[in-house]
Amino acid sequence: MFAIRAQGLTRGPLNRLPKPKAGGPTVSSAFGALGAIVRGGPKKSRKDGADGQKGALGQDLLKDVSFTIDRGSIVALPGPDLRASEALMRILTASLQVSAGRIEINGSIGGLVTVGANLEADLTGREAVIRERAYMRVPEEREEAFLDEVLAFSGMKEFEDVLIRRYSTGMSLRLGLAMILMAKPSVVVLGDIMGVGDLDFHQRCKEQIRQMASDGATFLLGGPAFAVDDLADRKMFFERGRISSDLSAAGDEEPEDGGPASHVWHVADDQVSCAVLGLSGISVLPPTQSQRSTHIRLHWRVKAAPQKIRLILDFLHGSIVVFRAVAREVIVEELCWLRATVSLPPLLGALHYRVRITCISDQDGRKRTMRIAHALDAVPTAGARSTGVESIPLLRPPLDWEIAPIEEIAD
Amino acid sequence: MNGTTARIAVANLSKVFDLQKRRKGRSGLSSRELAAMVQLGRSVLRRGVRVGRRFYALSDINLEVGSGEIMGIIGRNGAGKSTLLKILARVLDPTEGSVRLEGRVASLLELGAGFNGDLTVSENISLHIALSGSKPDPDLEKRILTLSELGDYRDIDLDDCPGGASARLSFATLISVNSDIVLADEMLAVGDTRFKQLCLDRIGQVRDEGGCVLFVSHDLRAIAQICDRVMWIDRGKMRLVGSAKEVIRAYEAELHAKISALDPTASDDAAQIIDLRLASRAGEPIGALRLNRASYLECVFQHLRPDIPISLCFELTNGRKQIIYSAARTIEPVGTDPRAMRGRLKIPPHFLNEAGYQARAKVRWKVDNEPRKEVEMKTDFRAVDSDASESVWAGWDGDRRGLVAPRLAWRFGISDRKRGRAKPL
Repeated sequence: MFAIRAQGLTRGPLNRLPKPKAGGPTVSSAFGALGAIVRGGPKKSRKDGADGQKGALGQDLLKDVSFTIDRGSIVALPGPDLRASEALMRILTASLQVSAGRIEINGSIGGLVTVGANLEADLTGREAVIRERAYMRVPEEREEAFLDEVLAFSGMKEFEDVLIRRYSTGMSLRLGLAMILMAKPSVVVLGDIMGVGDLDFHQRCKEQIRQMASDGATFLLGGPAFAVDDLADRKMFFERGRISSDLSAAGDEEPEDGGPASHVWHVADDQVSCAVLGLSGISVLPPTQSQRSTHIRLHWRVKAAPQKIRLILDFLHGSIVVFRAVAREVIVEELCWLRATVSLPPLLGALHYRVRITCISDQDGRKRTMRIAHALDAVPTAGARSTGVESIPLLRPPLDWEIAPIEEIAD
Repeated sequence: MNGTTARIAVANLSKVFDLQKRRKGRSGLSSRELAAMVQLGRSVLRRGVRVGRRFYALSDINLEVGSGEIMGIIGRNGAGKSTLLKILARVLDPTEGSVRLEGRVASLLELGAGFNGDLTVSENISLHIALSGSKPDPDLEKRILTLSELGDYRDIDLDDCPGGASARLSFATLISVNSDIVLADEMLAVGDTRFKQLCLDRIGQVRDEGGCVLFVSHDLRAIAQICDRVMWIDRGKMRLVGSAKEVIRAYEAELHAKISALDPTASDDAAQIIDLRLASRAGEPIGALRLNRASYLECVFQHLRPDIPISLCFELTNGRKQIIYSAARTIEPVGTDPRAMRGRLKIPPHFLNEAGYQARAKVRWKVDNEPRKEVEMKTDFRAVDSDASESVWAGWDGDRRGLVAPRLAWRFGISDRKRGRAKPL
């Protein structure tokens, strides 16, 4: 059964018209005018970029997006177009209207798109939970139990009588997140907020999310961090307002013919086709305490044989190619599933990288080149520590150091 | 001098770089700039080389290299070796003094420079033969094509050739065209043993034909092997000219003396960097890094005030100043005496890519209530893919992109089902 179904969902640009100026001059406007005289011209609005109103702000946030999400799935929306995924999440939580198309939600919905959005500053933690209870559609008779669960899960028991305005960002986030998870709506929308909590809380949330998903709840998780996380079992990437790739976690069922990733190929050959090869999943296994390598595994469906396949992975930070990994050419003799795993030694810093996968297929001399990009956030290895430098290097390999007095070396 | 005519004659050569930054539209100094000026002022007082905001990269160099002579140039980082070579190659203009070169010059300073990606391989060769002053020569072209192993790519644009083609082609061309004067910067470090041999052969040939070779390297052993005479440049000045053996011995002795000369009263700095160099595992200085071998960045420094903890930072950047690696370690004071220390950073094999890099070593410290201070030394080096069979790029014809080129392990498995065990391919 579906939990969310969207058909032709379109959302136009956000209205960002300047606010009309109020009445007479104020102190700040007088200073502003003075400043303008001193500078010799009116202040340029920061919003008027080089391309003014017609830039990115003028683009549709979502363009004709259709998808179906089944009950019990955990879907990540890792970007790279975060405006699109945020718009989708805001539409789901009813804080944004659609321009065209329709979206159906099967069941109740709870969501936290931005940090601290749901809490009122002048209430204590306890009052905030009681007040939100009704909005969360938790029955009144469960009020006490709900309060206890939320305070226990968020670990805010000892701060229950403190005003929300005295809470730190992390504290209010914990409370808000705990409320949503404990209210157990059937669809949960969470923005890019998971990074705020500490590791322990993070882990507890993950377990709770998995538990709820297996009970039939559906999750939508926004933010680039989820691109590598193993939590989600489906990843919907947005680019320029459209779904650029929709990947199910490796090992899951794949729709017949073509595979879910078939439309993400940018095929250099004139014949736009993925007749020979299809990517059905990318999984990133982050380093653990026992092994420090990151493994990137690509699942391919080989639809024509024999063919020679060469994989090239470019690891990018912004537009900089940090390094390129070229695999040996493999020859596939029969139709099969091909699994390619590359092990990455501990090299990456805690930065946002992208992996660009290029696949060159050679079938009797006919070459096809395909490309796909995938976000990759390096997870710092357990025990990784700051190296005490302020300039950020693009890599953090654990190189060997040796510092010794000279006399000792001579011995 | 064993030749009768001087191929290279340099008299009273000086090169001044203006350190004054053209900074318009701003007035006042930030605290950082102020600190930089104080630092500059200190170094002026201490070294006496910098005058105001002008920097004497070379001052009063006199040099004559005769026919059939191979001359080595050694010196520490930033001593002015490369500046001298660049002036001889006419890339830089001297500020004072005169330079006279007798014959055709082949400068192997920057491999790939002067080669146009929009021309085919053969056009590039013809262009360079013409530039060297020779008539079109099909035999020479064929020789260059064989040497650079680009015979199959003769009529293909250089940009579309495999990675490293440009460097290989320029090396092969420069070494093959007729020249009387060869200017070589860390030449022997580049390339594999076959190239090394070719290079030595060519140098021998140039010598036999009455030409001369000027050879700059950090690799003292290579210098001792092939050079007749050696000039030691120290902070832009000629320190010593003489037989290779004699100069190298003096050079090493001074480095040693400097390391052991621990005089905390000489300056008020808590530390001083003596040397930063690329070295082999055994600690021998090397001219360039070979990708298939482990190399070490060695920083020799003095901890002059053991009451202050210092930290050593190694930073590795590429040619575009993108930081690849940067890390620091704190050195806690031990005892009460100043110490000479050596920090070594291991650069593992199969980590860097074939490119030019810059390494910096910084030593920092902080005395209570005073701004943090640091001293810095930098060295440029090249990483070369000298052994094709061991290369990370073996079997790959395309672009060799990347700041680094780590060797990664790939595994392939196939299976007839989507799930389930895959048998290795």
